[in-house]
Amino acid sequence: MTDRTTRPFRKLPRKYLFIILAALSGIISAIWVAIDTFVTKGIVVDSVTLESNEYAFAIQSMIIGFLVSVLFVLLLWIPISKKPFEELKMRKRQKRQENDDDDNVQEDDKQVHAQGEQKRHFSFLGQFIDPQFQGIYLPTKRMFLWLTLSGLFSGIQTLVYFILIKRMDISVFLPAAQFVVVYLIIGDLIVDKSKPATVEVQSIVMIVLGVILAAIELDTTSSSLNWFNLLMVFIVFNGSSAVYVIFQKKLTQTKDHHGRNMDSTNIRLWTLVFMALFTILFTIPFMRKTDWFVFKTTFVRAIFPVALSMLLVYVSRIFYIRALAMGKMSIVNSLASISVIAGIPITVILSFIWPQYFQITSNWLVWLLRGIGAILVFTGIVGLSLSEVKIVILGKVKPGEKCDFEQIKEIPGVEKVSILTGEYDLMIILRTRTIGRGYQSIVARLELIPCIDVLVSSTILKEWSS
Amino acid sequence: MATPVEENYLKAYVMCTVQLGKTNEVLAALKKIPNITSVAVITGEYDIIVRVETKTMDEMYDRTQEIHLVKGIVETTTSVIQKEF
Repeated sequence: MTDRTTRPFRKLPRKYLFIILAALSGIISAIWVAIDTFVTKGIVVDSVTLESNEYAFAIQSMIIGFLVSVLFVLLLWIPISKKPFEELKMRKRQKRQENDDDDNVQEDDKQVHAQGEQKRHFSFLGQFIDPQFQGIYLPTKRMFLWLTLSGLFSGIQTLVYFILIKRMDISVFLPAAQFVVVYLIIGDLIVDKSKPATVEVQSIVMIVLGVILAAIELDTTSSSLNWFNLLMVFIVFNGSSAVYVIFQKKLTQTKDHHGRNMDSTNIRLWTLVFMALFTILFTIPFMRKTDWFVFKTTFVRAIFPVALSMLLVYVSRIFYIRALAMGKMSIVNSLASISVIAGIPITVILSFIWPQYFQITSNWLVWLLRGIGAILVFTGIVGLSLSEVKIVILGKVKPGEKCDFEQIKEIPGVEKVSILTGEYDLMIILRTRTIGRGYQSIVARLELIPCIDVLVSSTILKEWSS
Repeated sequence: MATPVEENYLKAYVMCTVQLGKTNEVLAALKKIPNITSVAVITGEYDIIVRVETKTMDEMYDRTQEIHLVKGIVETTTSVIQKEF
């Protein structure tokens, strides 16, 4: 078997892989939103009033989702080669040797440890989905903090999501849910204290207009924008979504005691634990006696579709987190917004299968507006992703001065910092949306670091990676 | 993201200056050399930056020798990565 360094250049370069992962995550998202809409309108319904119960569904979804996800991760944890067993044997041997003669044990430990280091390359079933998956493990204190914060905002987002899918058509909800991209771009601009580049302004305008166009409802029941729904989706849903994304990004960048980043499967599992906890906590105050009755009577029937939906969420989130580790946050979110377009055909297909739950308008003007809106959002997003530039910065450090290289890594856009031998002391890989933003990072941040003596920056014109 | 085994690899950047008009030929030749994990065409002092990852120093020596033999490369500067953040 070839390893990463000896195999030829992979057919799918990293930049395309992250695009595919992010886009797949978006398409799967559209499918699970459709399943959730079906469950909320067709299964979790009050038998007396015939009204769907979003609060009962929220708690059902979290409980079933949590159990299904734990089972799914346990399935992913199944060893598919001898390596995990070898690791287990190695650990047992190590423990036995620790109890043996004290004089010999240190030397033996070194040998066993060295063997272990060579063999510590687990092979689990889950590595087909997530190659970084090394089994379930407990998060560190810092990871625990980010998980709690992302779980808190995810809890708010999830509760609002269940309220909204009852009230909105998915082809309207999905574009409106992508408004988070605008918040993230604005957030980046505020953090960097920089003016927006032309491409950023263009993209923001296109996304905003696209979302508004797609959200216009011109059916028989209402012929205007539903302001309550729109405010809920724009402010509460997208606002909490933006904060959630920021904490998830912090989590993906946090390293454990072994210097490793948490893999996407563990991130999803632990985020789900906190998300389920906060969603249930936020939903309980809204639950009345009748809601608990609906919860009990519809629980069994909801198990299969909710389990399927949660599995899709799981796969979608793993793809999303993997893409997030490869690309810039706002770009990954942009690409995942392909669900905007996917929502339209999915709504149409489902309206033929279950017309009672997926009522579509026959007004061609609505579909024209939704189509134009979806294209506008998507074009705005593509514009953003294509404008990204990568810069290589070679640097020299002042002799006799101690340099905090971790400080350089904290600068927005810095992807990698390598300490080198030879003519230059360090190499920084910077990834920014425009050259102007790269200039901001170099002039306003890097040049101000006291230990830095010389900086030579070069733009990457083209790159291939394996 | 590198796995723990890959973290033990020896990594280096080879900065190359290329003869005018030979960039595409050099790139094609570099892509055939094993242990090269990325190749980037850049502006400025150097023309191409190559990232090499090997298990041993001997292997690293072999790869840099292969890079030196590529027709069109005028000059190279190899910098071993001591630490990476």
